[in-house]
Amino acid sequence: MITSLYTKTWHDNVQSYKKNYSGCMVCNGFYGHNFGQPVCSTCHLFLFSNDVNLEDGEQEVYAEKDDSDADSGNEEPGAVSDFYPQETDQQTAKRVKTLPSHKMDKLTERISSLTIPREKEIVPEGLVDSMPPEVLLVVFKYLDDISLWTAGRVCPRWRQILESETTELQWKEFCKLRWPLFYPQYRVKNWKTIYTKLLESSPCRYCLESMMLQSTPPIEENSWRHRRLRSELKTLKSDPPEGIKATPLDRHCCHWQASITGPQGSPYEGGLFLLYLQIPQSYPMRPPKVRFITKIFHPNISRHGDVGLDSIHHNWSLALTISKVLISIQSLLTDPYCFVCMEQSIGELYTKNRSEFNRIARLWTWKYAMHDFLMPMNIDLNGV
Amino acid sequence: MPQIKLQSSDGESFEIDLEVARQSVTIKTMLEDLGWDESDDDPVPLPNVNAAILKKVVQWATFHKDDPPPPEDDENKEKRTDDICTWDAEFLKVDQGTLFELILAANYLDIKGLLDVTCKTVANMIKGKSPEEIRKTFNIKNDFTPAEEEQMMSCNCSATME
Repeated sequence: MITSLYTKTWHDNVQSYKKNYSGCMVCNGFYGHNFGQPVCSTCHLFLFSNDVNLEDGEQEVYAEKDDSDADSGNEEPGAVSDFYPQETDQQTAKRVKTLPSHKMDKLTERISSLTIPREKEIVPEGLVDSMPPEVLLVVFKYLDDISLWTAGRVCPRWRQILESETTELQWKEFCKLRWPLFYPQYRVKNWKTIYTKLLESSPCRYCLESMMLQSTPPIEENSWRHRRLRSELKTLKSDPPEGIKATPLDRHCCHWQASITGPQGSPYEGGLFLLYLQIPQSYPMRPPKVRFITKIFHPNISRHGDVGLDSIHHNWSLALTISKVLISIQSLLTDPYCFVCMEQSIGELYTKNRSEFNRIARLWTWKYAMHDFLMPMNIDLNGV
Repeated sequence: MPQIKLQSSDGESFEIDLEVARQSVTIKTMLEDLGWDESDDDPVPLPNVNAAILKKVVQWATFHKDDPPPPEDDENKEKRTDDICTWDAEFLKVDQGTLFELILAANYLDIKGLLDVTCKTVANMIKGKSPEEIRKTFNIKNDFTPAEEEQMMSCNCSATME
């Protein structure tokens, strides 16, 4: 059986790969624990903005301080000013003031909590355990699906309370809501397990969370963007490229989910890879942000799910569309580009030991990208 | 405005407006059952709430005395936690011990508005954290048995074709 073939080596691979994953890939633990995520929450706030109108890594927080300076300091030379007349200081200042502030607050809050020493607060042990279940239920009522799932793993008592309160139907709803492009090919008996699988197959929990926040800044409708997205959506619906699906998640089409099936002949064959896209306000002037929300072993896709494709970064062109971007990513799955890699070690493995690369990539596909085909079951590893 | 006396568990009395006190469903029904009238001077005993917490509760209830009654729970309504008003946010900048005691008091006194806002605050502390982080935040012991841990883990990576 295939099962037994993979079992032994799989474990070794995971172990060796996990070692590299132990700290935050950006700060390596400097800003705090990463709790199993590829990027710690502080770095995530810094680098991967929730705000669809900000470039990754561009933070307007500091622009406020720079107001008095002649140079605002955070405009990328060439990138914006090529298209728009240079903004004057007043305009910049005005823009900063009108920006939605809640996201900045999160980062500011985080920075101040890291930098300002506080007295360590010690919660008396057992205080939270003494809360009656009806009170805990009021708290749980305010949690979103991911937090509910997490809360079920805090302690047996919470787990018990949650299990008695959340129904299978709710988990089904949660799955549909969070992964609308996921269609299981068999009758699902336990939706919570499916939810668990999909959540754990995602490289970054913070990205999944921001996908559902759908923080759409109050935008004036840009008719060019609107018309263009409408026609793109129409084409995607009527004539979708082979193995590609995409659907907007919100009314303004700022947040999308897409799926790519692993191309035939590649080690990703048979897998369903889900992606999260953010379409900025200035689209199609600026490229969409694209991230995998299914783990994938590939030289050009980082452990955080970011895609190293020049056409969605500096080589963006107005002629490109969402579906063209997805097609290039699909072909990247067949032909990794190893001169520039997101994950150097995977790139090296690809060039030096192709069969080993294929084997691991196939294993990852089995493990993370085939929940629509393979019914989850508990296989006793020792019994195999 | 008629006044009423409340007595905390440690014997301290608080004299407050009747309207403020009636936000607590517990006190309201207690007064109705007792047939309380304005000439009564006996304090209402609240054996489950101490003076420090009662003071906070009274402070909250006084500020919110003119609020419209909180809407009934609606299953389909979006569960927002970012709609805590600034006064409440400032009011709830307390240590966690006080926060949880406020929750217990709000639950006992049956003040829906206060219970909701305190629980929202706790929910915000849970959101976006991992189980380990949550345990650390609230000082909860991880008393899953190794077998239960194993079961969750195997649920984790029992994947498909291992």
